[in-house]
Amino acid sequence: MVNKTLKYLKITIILIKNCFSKETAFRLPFLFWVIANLFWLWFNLYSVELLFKQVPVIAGWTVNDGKILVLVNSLFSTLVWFFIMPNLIVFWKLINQGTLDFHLLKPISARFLSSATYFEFDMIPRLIPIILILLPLLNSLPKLISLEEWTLFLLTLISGIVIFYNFGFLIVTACFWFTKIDSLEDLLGNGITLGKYPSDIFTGFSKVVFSYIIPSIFIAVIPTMILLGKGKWNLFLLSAVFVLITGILSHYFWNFSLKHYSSASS
Amino acid sequence: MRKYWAYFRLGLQTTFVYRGAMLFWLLGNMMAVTTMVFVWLSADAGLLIGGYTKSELITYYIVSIFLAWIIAWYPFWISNDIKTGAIIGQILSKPVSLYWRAFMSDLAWHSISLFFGFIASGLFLFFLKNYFIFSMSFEKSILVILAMILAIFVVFGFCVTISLFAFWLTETNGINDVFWILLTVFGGQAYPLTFLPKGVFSTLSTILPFRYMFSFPMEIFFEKLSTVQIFQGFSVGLFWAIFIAAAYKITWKKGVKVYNAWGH
Repeated sequence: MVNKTLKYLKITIILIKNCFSKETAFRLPFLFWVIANLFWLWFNLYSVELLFKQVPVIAGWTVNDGKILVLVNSLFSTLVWFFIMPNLIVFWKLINQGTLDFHLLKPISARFLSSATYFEFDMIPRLIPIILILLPLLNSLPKLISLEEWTLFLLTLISGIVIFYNFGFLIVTACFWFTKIDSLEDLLGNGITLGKYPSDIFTGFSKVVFSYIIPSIFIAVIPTMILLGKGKWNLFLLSAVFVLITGILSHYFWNFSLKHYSSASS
Repeated sequence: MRKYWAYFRLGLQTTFVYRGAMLFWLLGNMMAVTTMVFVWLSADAGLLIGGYTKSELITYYIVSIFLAWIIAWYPFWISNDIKTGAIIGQILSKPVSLYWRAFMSDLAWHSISLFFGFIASGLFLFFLKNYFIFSMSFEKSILVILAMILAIFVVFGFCVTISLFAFWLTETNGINDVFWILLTVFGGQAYPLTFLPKGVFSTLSTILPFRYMFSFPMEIFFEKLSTVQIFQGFSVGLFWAIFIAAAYKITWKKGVKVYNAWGH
């Protein structure tokens, strides 16, 4: 087990190095990406200002709550764009071009290779402004955030990433039937955007659909609620349950889809 | 002209073969619009929000999903064809114009997406009919259609031109992303342009081409412009369409000269 973990870790490091070399080979486009990502961060924060200037309270959330939510969402998005999204959005190519064969024939988990081949680094620099803006905002809150809350925040953030990966992977298995889905970035990207709004904007059945069936509440709302003192272990427990459910579902769908894979000629 | 219709037919066939891409695009778009609709439904707002009533704002997003299906002409695949060298076999060695070949392919995609746009907007209408505001005179319909055609040429020309930067940079995704931000902020895709503060931002939104890619037809639809403003809008939009077409020609000529590709 330890040897297997080390082997996967070693492969991951090699893949990360490979992707870093590839990205920095195109330095000017990389710089454009970095600038664009910083602009997105600015725009997301600025749109909170624009929105709350028109409406002082949205579903019980104030402008400061909104800013914290957007920053946590940006943190989530930065991490997800580093190692999950780049793989999910190009998964269709493996099916469309039949290159999934190479993953299946290697003495390594095909799912691991399909999920961890690509890493993107252009989002990483924006972690600095996110932290620099988030920390003073959290300090301005009426109550101090305890160590327990920080721990729960990190745990729910990680759970959110795992849920997103499981859910995203479940969606991309649709490529086995549709073959070419080059619009996954739009769908998954809009899914992340959904997570930057308070889940309280949805009521009744729409809350079930847009918070739990599409598990957007775990992206940023739950970690932010912990920081704002609106919940603790109950929220973590909810996240843990969803990690389990989405994990089982995505594993089942992956195996089910593989049975329908018929490769492609070139 | 016949050869371009062949590309149109090919585009139709490709769209039908790869239905999944359109389905997922539709779901993504609907998700984005749904979020904004719920934001405004839950907002405890006064009479006017950025010059729009609550019902007008909800209508804004319902119409925007339909509009996005008509005017979202983003042929960014061109930069990938330049990067991979596919452009040699598809364009450079054939007596066809890249601009019109891409235009016909996108026209085919949008001919079908229009149908899906109707379905998506119809679904929203069904659930939100109490908030939907619709008043269309013959003159207004003509103006909205003309503004949409103008928007297609501005957005399409702009995207084709920035895709050509791949001749020099190879990778243009970063530039595309800058385009998305500018379109979101100054094009009125995220919020109506009246939400922008008066001063530099609102002046820039009037001068830059992004307003004419999305917001301008919406402003006519919601009757937010006077006759003079509509005339000014068409003039500036037309200027950008011509300017971008000229920029495309220059970029293409210079790009082809510096192009290096490697074989497969």
